[in-house]
Amino acid sequence: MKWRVRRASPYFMLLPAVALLAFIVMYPMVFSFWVSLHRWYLGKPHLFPFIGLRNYSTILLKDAVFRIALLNTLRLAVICIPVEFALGMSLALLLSRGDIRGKVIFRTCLVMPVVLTPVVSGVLWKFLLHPSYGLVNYFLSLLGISKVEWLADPRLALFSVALANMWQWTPFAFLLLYAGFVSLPREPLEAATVDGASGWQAFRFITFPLLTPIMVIALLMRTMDLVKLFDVVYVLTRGGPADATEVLTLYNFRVGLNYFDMGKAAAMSWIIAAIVTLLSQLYLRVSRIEF
Amino acid sequence: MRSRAGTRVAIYVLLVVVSVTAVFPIYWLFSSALKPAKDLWTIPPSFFPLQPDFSHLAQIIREREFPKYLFNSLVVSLGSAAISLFLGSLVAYSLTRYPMRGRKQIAFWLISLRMMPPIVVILPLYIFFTRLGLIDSHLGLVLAHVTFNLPFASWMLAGFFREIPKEIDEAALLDGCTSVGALFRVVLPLAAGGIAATGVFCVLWSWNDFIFAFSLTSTKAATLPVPISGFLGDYVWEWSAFYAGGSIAAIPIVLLAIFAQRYLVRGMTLGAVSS
Repeated sequence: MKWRVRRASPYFMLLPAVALLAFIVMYPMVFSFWVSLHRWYLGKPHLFPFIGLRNYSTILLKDAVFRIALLNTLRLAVICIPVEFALGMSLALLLSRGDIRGKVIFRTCLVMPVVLTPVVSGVLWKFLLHPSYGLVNYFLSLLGISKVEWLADPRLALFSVALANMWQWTPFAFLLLYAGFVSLPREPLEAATVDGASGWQAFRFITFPLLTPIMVIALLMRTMDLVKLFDVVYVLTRGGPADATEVLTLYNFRVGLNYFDMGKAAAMSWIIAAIVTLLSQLYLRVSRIEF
Repeated sequence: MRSRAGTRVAIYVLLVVVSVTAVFPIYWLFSSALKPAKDLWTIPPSFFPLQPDFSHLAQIIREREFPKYLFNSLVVSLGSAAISLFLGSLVAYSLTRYPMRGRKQIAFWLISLRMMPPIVVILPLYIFFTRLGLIDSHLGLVLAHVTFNLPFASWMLAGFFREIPKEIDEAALLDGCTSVGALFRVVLPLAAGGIAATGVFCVLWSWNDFIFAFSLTSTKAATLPVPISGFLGDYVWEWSAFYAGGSIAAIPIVLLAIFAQRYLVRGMTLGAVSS
């Protein structure tokens, strides 16, 4: 009797969490998939015609805004991630030198942007980038550069969104790479130095390859974050001017909760989920998370 | 590695520049909250609030219901963290202590849920909550945040529990402890640091969340980010109210994170990299 209770107990311990998640995540997801196969406006709940995969094909083939949003998300990744990495890597390299003091203070400073509430950082940047009263333009005016329309100029708006993102996430790249540096084995580097490798050679042929897994992890993590990006863009530009900063999750939100085109919104959320799942599967492979 | 004095000075200068760039906007937020309104738009800007002015703070507390939003943020983040830690520790214990069938699949299911884009869950939850009357309720938003915090907590706690040798709680089981008893009396105290870190992260995700709160609440149960986003109206930007309200939202979470910074990288990468 006791033996049987022992064998069953792990399942009893799993049960509350699994039941709760089934109820608040799995069931809603199944429902959302069902909705994605229909044309359904929240304002007209009695009309619910089944249209198969037509929502999906409309989004992928005919929706120009979706294409812009997808492209902008990609552009953001291409602008932000290399800069975050290059800066993060340089800082991590500098700070891992033995003769630098005050590392704790420095690291604490860099923790702050990462954890700041994204809505707060978004509004804050909106003020900092204000054309007349913003600090950024004030500092530029000291250098003789006149009034830049950071958020109103469609050619600059996406870059400004990227700027706010980079401010918040470069410290994260640093913290991650620094953690990687600290945990690197010492011997290969010492051996290389003994053999007469220059600083750059040691970095290029030893440190960099050893850090590659961590960099791939960070790259995938950041790409997933950008696909889910909502709050900062919402407060900075709401996707404007004229779709210049429209991104995937923001557009999806608008289709669902502003236009109430639920069938299309649900289909779009599944397309986004497919992109993220692809990235997350890669993430699990690369990070060799074992269970 | 030793280097010449000149190089070291250059490095320090660079590090100071970077730190200031990282911290200055946050300093600007806090200091502007204490500036009288007329100093917000002066050119050149005023960088120090020489005569701190608490009227904006007082105003959003009295007229903009900030005590209510702060209370909502606390209830929702602590509530979702508590539920996630409690149920998550049961999951983590059974996943790490029993050679159960499907163990691996459950673990990967959990981490996939954590990475799932929120919009997938928000649309159906919006429809259900409207029907069930859970829109704009604390319970509703707590449940919504549990959708990402429970998978996160289960996964992170499993990582921490695995670092505790199995022999220790097996000894407790042999002494006649039940498995729940072994979890609460032996494993949880040993993993206290990891549990605290996981709890801090649950609070952080929940506190900082905007998309769930913005979709599923409006006034009664709205957390701080919702009214803060509202300070940017289509016609009027309320600068001083934002600086004050933004500081109220930012101070607790920044302090909390500074205390837990040892675990920051581990939490942010879902356990893939530990610092």
